[in-house]
Amino acid sequence: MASGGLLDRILERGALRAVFQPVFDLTSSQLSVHYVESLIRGPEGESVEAPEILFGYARRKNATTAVDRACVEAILLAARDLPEDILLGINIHASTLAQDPEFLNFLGDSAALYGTAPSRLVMEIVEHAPPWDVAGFRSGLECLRAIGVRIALDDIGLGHSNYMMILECRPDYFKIDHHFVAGCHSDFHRRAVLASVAELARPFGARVVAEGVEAGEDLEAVRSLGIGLAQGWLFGPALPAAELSKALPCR
Amino acid sequence: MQYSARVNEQNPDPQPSLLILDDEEAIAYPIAKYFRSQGWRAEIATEAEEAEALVEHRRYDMFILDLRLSSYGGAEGLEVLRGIRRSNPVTPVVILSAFVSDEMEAEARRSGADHVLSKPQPLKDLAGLAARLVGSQLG
Repeated sequence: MASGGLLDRILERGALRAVFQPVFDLTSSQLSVHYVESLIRGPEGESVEAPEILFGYARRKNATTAVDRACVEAILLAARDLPEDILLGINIHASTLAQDPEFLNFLGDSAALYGTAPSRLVMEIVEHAPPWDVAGFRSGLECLRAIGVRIALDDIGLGHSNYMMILECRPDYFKIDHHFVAGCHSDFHRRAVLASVAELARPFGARVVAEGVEAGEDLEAVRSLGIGLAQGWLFGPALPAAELSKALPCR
Repeated sequence: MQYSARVNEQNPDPQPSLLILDDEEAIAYPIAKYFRSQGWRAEIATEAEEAEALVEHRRYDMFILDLRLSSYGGAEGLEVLRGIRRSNPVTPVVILSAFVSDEMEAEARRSGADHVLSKPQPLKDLAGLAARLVGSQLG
């Protein structure tokens, strides 16, 4: 066990690990990868190895921004082992975008350092703790778009990923939490929610991603509702970049 | 889907579970090791914020908390205890402190502690108390 506080251990270079999960396009005749989402794991063997504990801890330490930055570095470093033409999803807290005026410079510098074009990036906006600076957030989003970054709104339907956030983000991707996806094939009400999100996304020109698909029946239900993108354990676990690159279907 | 692990999922494991909060690893690790040898799932937090994040996302059958967590700054054990009581009104909480005074014990009990003990405690006695407390909760 290293000395020093847990936050120090989290922020040590190399402590965070990135794994990647494909988002599949359901609209083509053959399943194809539309982009890959990066997922973070905390230092191995620590309680914060689990991402929900990692970010819950960071939030309580008022260190979300620092941890988000460390995550971005870990992801971009690991993503060098992914095919160069694949889109890369990176989760970022709305509060980081709003409150860290240097974050965009940091992102640009890091992307350049690790050889990732900003146009490859899909920033997935999450937020678990209000309040945050809406003006700063809007400005941050505009800057991201200006350099070619796509925007996804994560966990739609839960917590702060609500109608207000949809308006603020005007996302390119609506990501529906697995809570609404799991069991949807046999649950009329879940399908009604999914259909309403699919309908809502259409005038935005956005694509909808069903998260956490674990059953073939749910995948078929999602597809029948016109939702064109899906990810989840049905397709396999999240993998380190090198392993995923070998496992990816021909694109 | 940043938090890809399921959150707030009830633990289906029949093992009793324990969270130990102590900034002194030399104290926390032997306790955890002993409880594990007795069939418990024992986890350790060395900071209040770490314990709070664990309590938010995981279910425990019992807590052993130190109150003074000065090593890394941040919140103290009493705040963790109060937070536990907001979401877990009946889960047993044992305070294990090197600085037990009448005043501290009264404050801890007001905040929801079931037992307040001085460090060090024989591990066998601590495990026996835990078994009784959790047994009475389950039974």
